[in-house]
Amino acid sequence: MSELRDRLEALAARGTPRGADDVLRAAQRDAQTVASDDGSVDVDNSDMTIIDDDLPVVALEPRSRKRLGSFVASAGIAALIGVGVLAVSAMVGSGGAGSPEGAVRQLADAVSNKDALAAVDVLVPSEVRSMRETVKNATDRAAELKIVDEASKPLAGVDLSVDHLALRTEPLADGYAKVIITSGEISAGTHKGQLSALLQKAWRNGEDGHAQTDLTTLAESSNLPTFIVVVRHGGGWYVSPAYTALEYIREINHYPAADFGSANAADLGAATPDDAVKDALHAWQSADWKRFISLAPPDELPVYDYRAMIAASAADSQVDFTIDHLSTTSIESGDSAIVKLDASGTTGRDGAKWQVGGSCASFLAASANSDTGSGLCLSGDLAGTVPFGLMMINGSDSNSTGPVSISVVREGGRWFVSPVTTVLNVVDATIRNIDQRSVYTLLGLAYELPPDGTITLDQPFDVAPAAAGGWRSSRVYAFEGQAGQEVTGEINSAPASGDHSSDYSYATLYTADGDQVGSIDFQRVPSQGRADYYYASSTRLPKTGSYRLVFVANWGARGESSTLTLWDLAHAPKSLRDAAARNRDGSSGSTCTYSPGKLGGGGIQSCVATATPTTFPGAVATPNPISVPSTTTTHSGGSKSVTATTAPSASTTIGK
Amino acid sequence: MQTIRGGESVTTVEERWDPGQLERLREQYEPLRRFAAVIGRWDVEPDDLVQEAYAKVLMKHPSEIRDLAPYLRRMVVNLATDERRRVGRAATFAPKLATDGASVDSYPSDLSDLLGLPARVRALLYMVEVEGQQIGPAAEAVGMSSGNARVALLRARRRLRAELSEELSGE
Repeated sequence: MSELRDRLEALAARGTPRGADDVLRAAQRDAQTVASDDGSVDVDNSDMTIIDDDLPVVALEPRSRKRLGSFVASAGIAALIGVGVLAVSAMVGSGGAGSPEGAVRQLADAVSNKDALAAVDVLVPSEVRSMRETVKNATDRAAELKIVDEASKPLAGVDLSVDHLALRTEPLADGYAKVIITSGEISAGTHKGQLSALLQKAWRNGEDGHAQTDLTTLAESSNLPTFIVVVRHGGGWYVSPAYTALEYIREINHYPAADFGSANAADLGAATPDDAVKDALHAWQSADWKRFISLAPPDELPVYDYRAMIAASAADSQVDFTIDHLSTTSIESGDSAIVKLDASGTTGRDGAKWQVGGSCASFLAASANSDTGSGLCLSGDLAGTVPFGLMMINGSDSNSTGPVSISVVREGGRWFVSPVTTVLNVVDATIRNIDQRSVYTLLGLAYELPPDGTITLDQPFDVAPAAAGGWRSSRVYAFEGQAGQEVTGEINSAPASGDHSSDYSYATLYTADGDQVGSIDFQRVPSQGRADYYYASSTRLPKTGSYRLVFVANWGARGESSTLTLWDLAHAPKSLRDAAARNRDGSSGSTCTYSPGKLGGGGIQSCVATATPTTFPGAVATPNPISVPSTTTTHSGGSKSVTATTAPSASTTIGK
Repeated sequence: MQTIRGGESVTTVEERWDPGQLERLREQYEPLRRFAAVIGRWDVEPDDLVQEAYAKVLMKHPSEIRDLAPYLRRMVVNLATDERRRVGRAATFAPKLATDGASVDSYPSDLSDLLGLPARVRALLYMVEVEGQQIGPAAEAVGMSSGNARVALLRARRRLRAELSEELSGE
């Protein structure tokens, strides 16, 4: 059996080397040829951005991605402005206005009001649906968790004002208008002293700030004025975030004009709630965008009016997933319904699985041990997806398993998938799941949580899963340490059932005062019979006193309790000490040679580190720089040795 | 003389890169070729990736490149990633061609476990295990965070260990 390094060496030696001179000469010819082909040379550094496997950076062949790229970029701008409209609208406290400009002026006039509950009233009612209730839930929960002092003043500490506003109206169609901002500024200020005590603590290094922006230049990069689309609804004019966003996308990309008000709900949608969801999924899978947009409620998401734009933008798009299983059940209530969706299939060429419904914990465990990638899973109330998995920390499995609920609404006797209500329901579920532990973790204040236990260095301790089937993440433990002690971690218990790949935890180390000291990796040592198959970091304690060990969101094994040990490195098993020495911070620039060994080898045989001069930005040379003399230090441990050598010329100079 | 984008005049490759600077590039050849061999597709010659990376670097002015070695490695990472993606797209649009035998990967069975790893993880393993680099700089070279790199290495080693154990038991 070949050992790992032998195999890596064999891989590195593959191919037929042509030699440096030949390759370099050919490259020079290539560089000259490419430059000559179009008379231009791309000298930016964009191709040096390391890429993920989903994004192209360096082209080996000509290709056109401009259309999709510009669409995405413009969607981003539109979303930004849409969110801005929503955010500003969130301060407003009145219903529709008597004129298009009046609707926009209501936004500006109400900025200083900061009444979040009255906010939603300035938006088109059918576009925001139950947002008012969601806003109330959010502000109430924020007050309960001490994120804000008063639910009625969620933006205390933030000042906003719009000044010198001048508007011009361009009619788009009967009942639709574009209000262009021809002058005006929005200014924002923050006052740390007016924030809640919790936010002040999280923002302990922050200062009061103030910023001002010219409202007319928000879309300047796209050579467009700042505008807001308003629509007439029940005799009043309302701001429409959806039309505003769609109109920006259209104008940025020069797509065909919208056919305002053309959607007749009676001719669109589906006959039943279940059919609406199933048809939408099948239309998506088959890239039947015409059918797909016909399943969005015309009054809520007016994509049907923009069908020409969507057809143009999606003309060359590719969809690559299968639907192997699809089942729904539904519960109707008047003109709304909840459709419970269970579905699964595969994505892409690699055949990675996707799943909606069921148990994502089981799905992820299975994916971790498969060769097809991690896949995608959504289940339960989706509270774990907002924001970015944070709530999976404490979300109970009763909420995070089972079919996904899709909201469906009836318009004109037909059923449509309601993205707004669906998203708002997810937000509501997320708000319900937020607890003190989640908030403190999000704010970087987890060290302030009451410790889940007090541990002693070198003694194993049990970590219970959070809630029902939670993670190690955000568990907090207190311990006493001595200045100069170096600590590292180990997992002692057996692997979580069926999920060996997630058998790892990562913790951040704080002083009891909240100063971050370092981080610790926890892994099993030896790992399934091999002592050298893990990464182990260590952290030196800066002072004697009380510390907090906070397990952060990472690949923590879930669902089962586990036993860990925080070692004083001096007392740790030799294999752990060796690993920590190998991976210790601060030896950057070293080169190591390895003793022979199987798969991972016998570890470091010797390391040589050479210091190079370091210049700090802004530093000024002093007449007497501190020089590091040439030294050689050898540390031996068993059969291992580490040699550090500093070059005679190496020096670091820091002056004022 | 050629014209650079925006009308600024530029020189030829030879005028931008003096012999000393070209020598610096030449010195990078061997480690870069080995790195390209590890991260590149099996059916792509490592020298071709190196040549392409060199060509892109030569289109710039030396003063634009702060640290040549990591710069070249990043270039190779991106080129290799893009090559895999290009081949993947081709296979998606014309899957039947893959059975024609015209472009079928074939490599020694004892390397199949390594080649089954994601390319960037393979490169990480190489830099850490063979070159003796620290995880931080190695992770940066392939565009991963240190935390993700640690976990990726852990998983890769476990997977390789399991596969090699199977080989051993089958011998």
